[in-house]
Amino acid sequence: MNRRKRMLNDLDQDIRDHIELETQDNVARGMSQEEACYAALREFGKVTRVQEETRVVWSSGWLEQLLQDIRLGLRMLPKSPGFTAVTILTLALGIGANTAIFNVINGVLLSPLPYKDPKQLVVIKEHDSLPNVMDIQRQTRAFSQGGGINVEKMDYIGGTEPVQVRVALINAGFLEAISELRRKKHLSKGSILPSVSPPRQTVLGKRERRYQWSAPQSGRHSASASLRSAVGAPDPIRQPAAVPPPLLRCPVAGVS
Amino acid sequence: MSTKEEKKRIELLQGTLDLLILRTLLLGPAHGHGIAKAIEFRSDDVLQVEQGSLYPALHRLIKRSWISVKEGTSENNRRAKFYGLTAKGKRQLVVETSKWDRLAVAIAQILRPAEPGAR
Repeated sequence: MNRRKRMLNDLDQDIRDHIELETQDNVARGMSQEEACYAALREFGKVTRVQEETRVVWSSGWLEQLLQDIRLGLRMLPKSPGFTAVTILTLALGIGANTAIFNVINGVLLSPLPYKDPKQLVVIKEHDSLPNVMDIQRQTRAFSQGGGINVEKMDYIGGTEPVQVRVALINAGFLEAISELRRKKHLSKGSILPSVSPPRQTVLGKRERRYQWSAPQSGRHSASASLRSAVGAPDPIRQPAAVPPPLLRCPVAGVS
Repeated sequence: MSTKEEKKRIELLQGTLDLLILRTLLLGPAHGHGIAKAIEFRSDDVLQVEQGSLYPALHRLIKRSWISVKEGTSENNRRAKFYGLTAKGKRQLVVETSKWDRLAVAIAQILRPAEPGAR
């Protein structure tokens, strides 16, 4: 570093000496003093470019240049507050908008469902009655398995105070289809309970976490009839972004 | 401005200046102006060194330890920097010279492939 500084400090003197020597040579060749000086300068080339190129020789590379540029940029920023404000605002808006758009695209289009061959999973949004769903299940040849799900809000008044919970009504076949998909992906089957288990589950969710489901006692259980047996916390099957996942899933018997 | 004589002069090829500086300094230490003049003189004024470009080249060679600097007195009794070849520089001169020879031969072969004696 020291050597570099010394070398660069001497450069200006070297250049002056060089031009002076050349001028003297030119004078000796018969030019006038002024003419000789011009000729010497012409012969030498651009002094600033020479200084710059010599400095580049000693600079330790692109990193140093980059740091210099950054330092210069930072020094210039406070000098033009208007420009600075506009720049920062532009960057902030640009980054913010990009992040938001990426989040939406990532959530809706990119992040895959946690199943094997998620492309083969088809959601048909229809307001079909349960018998229709069962007919489709029985008669389909396009799908290997299928089931129906219906997410809606229900009141649970079996606890100390009434709660409104989102409940997914599912019919036989739905859980089987999902757990089949998961088995293929070697995911844990634990969170899916294909059979009806004793309804003693914790309702997940931020607000409702404190409510414990207890076995419905006759008489106190006057929620919607379907809320007879809760079978677990919501599984990671993804709902469209607009529909929050259900807190509960309830099997529905095939009653017509 | 450009007289006929000036048109005959050839600008240096990129990268050859280092070689010429090393070769010039083989004769003994010299200051910047002296090196420029020597190159022009020894090439019968055909090679035109833009004298300014000598300095980045000299510093490049110093950084690679091919030449060294010593303070000295120039012919008009002024303090000047004298550049001299180091041992490493001498070895490098051999390498660069043979490189140049091969390049010149190769280019000559391409330019005049049929000429007798070229092979």
